[in-house]
Order: sequence, then C-alpha cells, then structure tokens
Amino acid sequence: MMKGIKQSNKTTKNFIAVLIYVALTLWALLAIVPFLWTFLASFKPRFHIVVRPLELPFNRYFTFENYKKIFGGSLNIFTSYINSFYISGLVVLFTVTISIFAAFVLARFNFKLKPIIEIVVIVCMMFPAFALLFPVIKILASINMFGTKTGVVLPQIALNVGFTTLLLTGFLKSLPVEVEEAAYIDGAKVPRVLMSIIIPMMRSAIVTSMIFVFIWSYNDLFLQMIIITDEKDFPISLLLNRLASKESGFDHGKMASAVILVSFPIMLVYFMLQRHIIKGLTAGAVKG
Amino acid sequence: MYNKKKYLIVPFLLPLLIITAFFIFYPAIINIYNGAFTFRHKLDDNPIFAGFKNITWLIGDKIFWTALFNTGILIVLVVVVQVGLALLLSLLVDHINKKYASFLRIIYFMPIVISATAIGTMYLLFIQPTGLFTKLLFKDIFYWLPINNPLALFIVMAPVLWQYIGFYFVILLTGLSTIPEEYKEAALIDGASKMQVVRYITIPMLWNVLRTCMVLAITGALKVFDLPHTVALHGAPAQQTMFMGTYNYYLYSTNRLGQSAVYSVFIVLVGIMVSLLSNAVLRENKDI
Repeated sequence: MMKGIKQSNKTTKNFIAVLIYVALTLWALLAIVPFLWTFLASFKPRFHIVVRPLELPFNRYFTFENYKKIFGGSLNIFTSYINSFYISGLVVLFTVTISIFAAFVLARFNFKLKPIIEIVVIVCMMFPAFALLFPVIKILASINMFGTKTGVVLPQIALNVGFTTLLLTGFLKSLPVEVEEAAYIDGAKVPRVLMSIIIPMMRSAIVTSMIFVFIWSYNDLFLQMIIITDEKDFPISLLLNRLASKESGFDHGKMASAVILVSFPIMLVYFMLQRHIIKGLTAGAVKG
Repeated sequence: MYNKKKYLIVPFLLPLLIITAFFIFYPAIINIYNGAFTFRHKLDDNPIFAGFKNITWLIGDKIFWTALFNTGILIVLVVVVQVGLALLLSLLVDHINKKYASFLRIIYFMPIVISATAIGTMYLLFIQPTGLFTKLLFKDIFYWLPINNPLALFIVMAPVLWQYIGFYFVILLTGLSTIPEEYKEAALIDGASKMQVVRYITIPMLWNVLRTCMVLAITGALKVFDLPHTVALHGAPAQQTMFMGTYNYYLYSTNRLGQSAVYSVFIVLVGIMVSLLSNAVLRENKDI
C-alpha cells in the first residue's frame, strides 16, 4: 500500500518535471522561432514565403535575390551601416565620458545640491523621447544640425546619459575609496587618479554602459525619424522602416532580409557579450 | 578626502547639466509656453496666440481619449501578462537543470536587444493577410486591418508584451537567487507544500524585486513608440490602436504643433503622476 502511494507520487513528480521542461522550452521556441523563420524566409523567393511559409529553403529555390535587392536598392545599405556606426559611436563616446565625470562627483563628493542632481539624473532616464517634440527640432535648426545624422547625436546623448550615470555612480559607490586616498597621499593629482585608478577599477561597468548605449542608439527609430531628412544620412533602422512601409509595396522577401541585416550586428554583439549585457542591466535594476 | 577638492564638482557636472538642460529640460519647459500658440510650420518664428484653444481642441478630440485609454490597458497588461509570465517562468526555472536554465536565460533575453523596428517588421510578415499567422491559424482573426476587428488593439500590443518578458524574467531570476535556500527547506521540512512555499516565502521575499519590475514595466508602457509605430502606422486601423507616443507623433506629423506641445506637457505630467502613484500603491517592504 505504502509502496503504491510512493510510486504514484514519484510518477506525478516526474510528470510535473516533464511539464516544467516542456513549458519552459515552449517559451524559448516562442522567443527564437520568429527570428529563425525570418532568417530562413530571407533565402526564399517572395512567392514561396507566402504560398509555402513552412518550407525550408534548402532546395532548388534557394536564392540570394532578396539580399541582392537590398544591396542594389535605391537606398544604400552600406552607407546606412556607416551612418549608424557614426551616430552610435559618437553617442557612446560622449555619453560614457560625460557620465564618468558625473558619476565620480556623485559617488565621491557630498554637497548641498546633490539630491537635486540625482533627481535630474532619474528624470532624464525616464523621459520619453517623443515628449521632446517639437522644440528639439527648433534647437537643432538653430545650430544648423536639423536634417543631418549629427543632429541625432546630441538628443540621444541627453536621453541616455541618465542611465549610464546612475549605473556608474552605483558601481563606484561600491568600490573602496582607500586606493584613491593612498594615491593622493603619494602626491598624485586628480586627472592621474581618474585615469590610472578610477577608470580601470570601473572597467566592467563602463563596458556594460557602452554596450547598452550602443544598442539603444543603434535601435532607436523615433529620434532618427523626426530629425534625419536627408536620405544620404539614413541610419539602418530608418532604412528598414522605409523598406517595411511604402517603398517595398510589401515585398516579403525584401522585408525578411532587411530584418536579418539590421539585427545581425546586434545579435553578434549579444552572443559575444551576453554575460556583460544580462548582468549589467539586471544588477542596476535589482539594486535600484 | 575629497572635501578639499570641491572646486571639481561644478566643472565635472557641467557637461551633464548642459546637455540635459538643452535637450530635455528646455524642450519640456518651453512646451508649456508653445502650447498657447498656433504654429503654421515646424520652424515658425511668429506663431499666433491661441490661448487655451489647443487644450480644448485636445479634450474634444476622440483620439486623445483613445490613446489615453489604450495606454491604460497596456499598463494593466504589462503588469499582469509581462511581469506575471516572467514570474511564472522564473519560478519554474528554479526546478530545472542549471546548465539548461542558463541557456534559456540567453534565449529569453535575446528579443530585448533587437530593435523594435526589426521586430515590428517581422511581426508584419506574420499578421498580414498573406502572412504566416493568417495562413496557419484562424485566417482573418490575426489580420488587423479591417476596421471592425475588436482584437486590433491586442494584436498591436502582443509583440510589445512579448519582447520584454525576458527582461523581467532575468531580473526576477537574479532576485530569486538572493533568497536563502534554508527558509524554503525549513518550510518544506515543517510540512509546507511547494505551492505554500511559493505563496508564503518566495513571493513575499521577492516582493521588492517584483515591485521594481512592475514600476519598470509601467514606465516602459508609457514610453512605447517604435513597435506600434512600425506595426500600425498612426494607430491603424482608423486610429484605434493609438498610444500616447504615437498620438503625439500623429499630432506632430499632421502639423498640429501647438496641440503637440500641450500634449508633450501632458505626457510629462502623466509620467510623473503614474510613477508617483505606482511607487505609492506598490509599497516597498522594508522588513526584508
């Protein structure tokens, strides 16, 4: 009798364990299958994507046609990649530099206005880009930056600098101040201490913020859409947006290959650096 | 140590303050003023005084209320569906092989780094009349363009909810790992069932992390733009799926600039109110 109960308990337990694996695997599939399907579809003729959506492209219909269309299209994708890297590179450089200095002050100094600066940082982090309409256009026009890719850089820095400052400040606060003290006693000046002690100590947090700012800046559509008017300056997400809307007349193949081309650099960064990315973002969230 | 170096505070904070003053605080404040004018075009230097006309125009606009209502629904759904599913998944992951769990973590998190534009374009490939879902599933239900589809709003919201579940999953998982195993073991030895352990130990101890997730999800819902913009331009069909961000862009791109200025102020006020409210309703548990 006892043995029977124990055994049925065990089967229920095994059954539940299997159920858990199945449920978790299902969600994993839901997260990844759309990308896989799009990847495979990008090698299929347009007509086949529609008529035989589940057919794998490994047959005589396999084609690079969709990619050829994009590389040979009226909008040059190489230029777009360069524009995107230009914008995001500058944004990363300035955002992280500005927030290293700000974080140094916020983590190491005490002063009367500090609570206000901290509120400023949090407000900047939560501020939605679309609430900047439309004065941001006027400001950029007054410094002759409206319409160009460089015009996107300044507002993007402003919208990202809150997050990186918060992240770096939190990180620096958790580091002991004694090393710096010893350096000052030995006669070192502030620039020297910043360059050879503080920045090397914050290396991992700096790398995390660089990755994040890069991803956000590269993925951003809103600011780029309202600021950049010149097609020569189109970054990659604006190009994709254009392809997905009117220009392609809903060409499934072109859209699929454009999605893959846009996501590819980010996927590469993600799988190479996923540890930094996941840990960095969640560390900030759990503490804060 | 740093008390003698206080002269550094101002120059080190200045870049942060200048960039955010120009590109966040100035636009936010000048919009209060701009809201009282009618602008003929984006760079109009001589706008016509309109008094409260823009405000009454907005209150009288049906889409204003649609956008507000839809954003409200999205806030409810991100808390229930996004954070809820993330919690369920993270509780389940606790019971499986550690290596498989860390593999799942990488997969679940991936959609977050991909641009909303790419995800929206991919989603369009599924929900169009010739798309994958439409073909495989319920034929017309997933196709949202017919004006009378009552599911249109949810079809536009689905990818928004889907994209960020992995984010809250990872945060919750980090939170779970900080709960000491001894508590759970002690409760199990005392005869508690696994469900009871989750209800009376895990959830209360996880509360502060769960709360962070909900606040982040709510503020994220207010900021949503790129995905609905890509999937349903100007709240298609017939402005039914408008959110606060897409509505402001709609005002801007139809040259209702004074109204857009008023609405930007409104967005900021709603943002402040919602974050104060959600912080007050979701109280922090100070006993942990």
